[in-house]
Amino acid sequence: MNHLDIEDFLSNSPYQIEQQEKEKILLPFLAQLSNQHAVACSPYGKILKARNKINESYASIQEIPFIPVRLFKEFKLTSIKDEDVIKTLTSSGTTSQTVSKIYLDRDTARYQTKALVTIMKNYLGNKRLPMLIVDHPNVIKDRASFSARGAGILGLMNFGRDVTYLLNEDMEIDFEELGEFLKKHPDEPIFIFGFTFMVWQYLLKPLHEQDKTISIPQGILVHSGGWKKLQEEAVDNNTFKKEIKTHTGVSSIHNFYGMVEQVGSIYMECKEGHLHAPIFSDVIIRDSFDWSELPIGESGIIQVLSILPHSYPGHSLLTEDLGHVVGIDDCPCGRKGKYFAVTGRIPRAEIRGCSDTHASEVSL
Amino acid sequence: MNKNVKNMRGWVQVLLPSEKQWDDKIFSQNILPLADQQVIGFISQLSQTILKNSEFRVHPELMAMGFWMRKAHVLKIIKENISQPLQGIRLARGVVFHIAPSNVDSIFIYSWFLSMLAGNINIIRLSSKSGEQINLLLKTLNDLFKLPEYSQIASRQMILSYGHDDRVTAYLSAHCDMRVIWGGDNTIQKIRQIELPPTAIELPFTDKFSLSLLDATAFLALDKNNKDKLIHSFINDAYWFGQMACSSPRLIVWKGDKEAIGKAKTSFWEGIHAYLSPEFAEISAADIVNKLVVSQSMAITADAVLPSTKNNLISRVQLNSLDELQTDLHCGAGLFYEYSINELKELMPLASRKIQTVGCFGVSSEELKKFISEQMPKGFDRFVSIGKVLDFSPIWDGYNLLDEFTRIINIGH
Repeated sequence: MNHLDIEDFLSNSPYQIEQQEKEKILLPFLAQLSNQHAVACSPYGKILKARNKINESYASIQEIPFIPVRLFKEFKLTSIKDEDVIKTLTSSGTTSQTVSKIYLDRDTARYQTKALVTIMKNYLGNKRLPMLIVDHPNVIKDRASFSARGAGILGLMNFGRDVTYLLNEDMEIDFEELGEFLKKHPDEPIFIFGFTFMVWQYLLKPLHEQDKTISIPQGILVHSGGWKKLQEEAVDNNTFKKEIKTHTGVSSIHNFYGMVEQVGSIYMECKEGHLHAPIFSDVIIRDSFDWSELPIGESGIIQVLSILPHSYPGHSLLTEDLGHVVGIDDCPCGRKGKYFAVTGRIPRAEIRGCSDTHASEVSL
Repeated sequence: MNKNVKNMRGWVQVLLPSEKQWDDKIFSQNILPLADQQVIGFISQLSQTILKNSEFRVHPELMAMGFWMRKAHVLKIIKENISQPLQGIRLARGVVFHIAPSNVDSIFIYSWFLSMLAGNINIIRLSSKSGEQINLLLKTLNDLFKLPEYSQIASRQMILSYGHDDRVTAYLSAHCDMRVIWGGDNTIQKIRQIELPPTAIELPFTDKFSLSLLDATAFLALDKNNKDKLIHSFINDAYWFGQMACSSPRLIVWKGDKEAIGKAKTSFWEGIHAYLSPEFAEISAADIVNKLVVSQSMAITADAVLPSTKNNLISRVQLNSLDELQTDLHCGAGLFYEYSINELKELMPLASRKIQTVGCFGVSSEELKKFISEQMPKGFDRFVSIGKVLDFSPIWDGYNLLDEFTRIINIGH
């Protein structure tokens, strides 16, 4: 697949093609990526060789081999020369000390941006909107190495204008700044972006505790970043939405599912509350028993496929998230393809055995 | 009441005997005779209680323990493992402080009971994370300890629970004659920093790695019935304790020529798939993802081959060399490293202190003895038949425990 092909493809409307047709379109891209990365990225090549899948011809996207996302924490997985790296994305996992490192070249970075533009336009319209970021300005200070949070914010800043940070450096709501911003944009849609936990912890909680409300009825909130911390406080998506509406007046709320290992080809939530796979990516729900694909409604491990990662072998990844497909091609919102729900992370297994594997247990 | 006792009462919870508080008096109890009739009687009554009580049936590990404690078996252990010296008398060491593994398995019970048989006074630190099995066992033990005929025993045993408190560990260490530690390498290193009296000794049971050794030709020669039996035994060895016990086989070494090994492997894994149920294997989604990470890591770092399996209850990693064996990476839950050899001496790269049990099939004792006396390996603690690897033996990790728990008073002329 040459570059022109993929770039044409990326400017397509992301939700028009039905699943069966979509899989046929994705297959050659993904098969090519598997074979290409096997040559260019030696550790990845070794995995395919170990599974006897070198230069395999794949009959369906279900056959594309996957690697666990955690491998990006353990190994340097890159298909490009060091001098071609223009950006390194890192994510700190919630379960370990080590970070994922994702190496981007010019092409992959551009594909990511293009894909994101195509998806966001579908929700925000073609015009750039005044933008509020639920974070503090320093989060994007170090541009050489981005945290997942910084990278996400930078990526989405392209869709806004008059970008304003809602929090000050002490993580408090900057009411003054907000007041001025709203005064400048009284009658237009406002794009609000933040990480789910940040929105909850630093916007909703303080408003709730101080018994205050703000009013942004034309706001469109896009948020992401996982529910783990909120689940600990027993906050689900519905509670979250209700609280947003009560305290800010925002009623257009879109969560999205994405990860630093597959930036760009994100899964946005529609007004029905469903996460949608755009044309350049897809999900397959796997049964952990034998990796078989699970039917609609059955919960399993989420595998994510994306045609964007050309600089690293991240086009087919097994996540550590659980979810189920809600339906295919028939969401009332009109978007085609698979739509799904993420229900949580794989619960940690109990560590068993005759030895003490938690050294910290014995503090001496 | 002295200050230490008062402090200890605040720091520790006494689990056995229940309704007792910490008392320093336990340190000054006199030892009991070696293989005392009372102790043998107590152990065999506990065995009967376990084997008759329906609550224990759901815990196969406890049932196995109940069998181990039967009177006939205890007498056999005594007969086979206690040698009275020609000149002198063997006696218990005194106070033994046992530190049980934190993710409780029943294994420390065995060493405790052997120490009890030796006649020692035993103080056991149990992790606060103890599970249902241990609680059931504690309840049963507490009931027996209340009987007047066991008061002599009860006053010499104490099970404690306490949090991360070095002061307690230090206090008990300072008063013991022997310290037994079950734990990972880090745990043992940390506890070792706490001093023992100069005359005390220490017995560490650390993390170990175990394997199965099968002769391919012998395997292929089995009739269906015997093959099934072997498969069942292997499944028990591998899947109890989530393959995370020190003796659980995590590597399978096949001995024979290439062709025989190829055939044997196919037949072996088909057999395992046929008999292994998800209920028995008890493998979680997290385990399966861990296995995928380890397998693919081994492909990257060791050029291992990853044959496909019918389902994820079994994950196979074929090694090219035993030097690439990464024992710490292994996550259990039905992950099998595989390796082929022609002769036993090819096992030598494995022979580090880290290697414990070799579950054997089709390899004779003579062959093993020849291998050991010729090669003099640094590692390998035991060679037993497949199906017996999880049975606790009074010779463990290279120690004859009844020797270790006793001392000899030499009488010269």
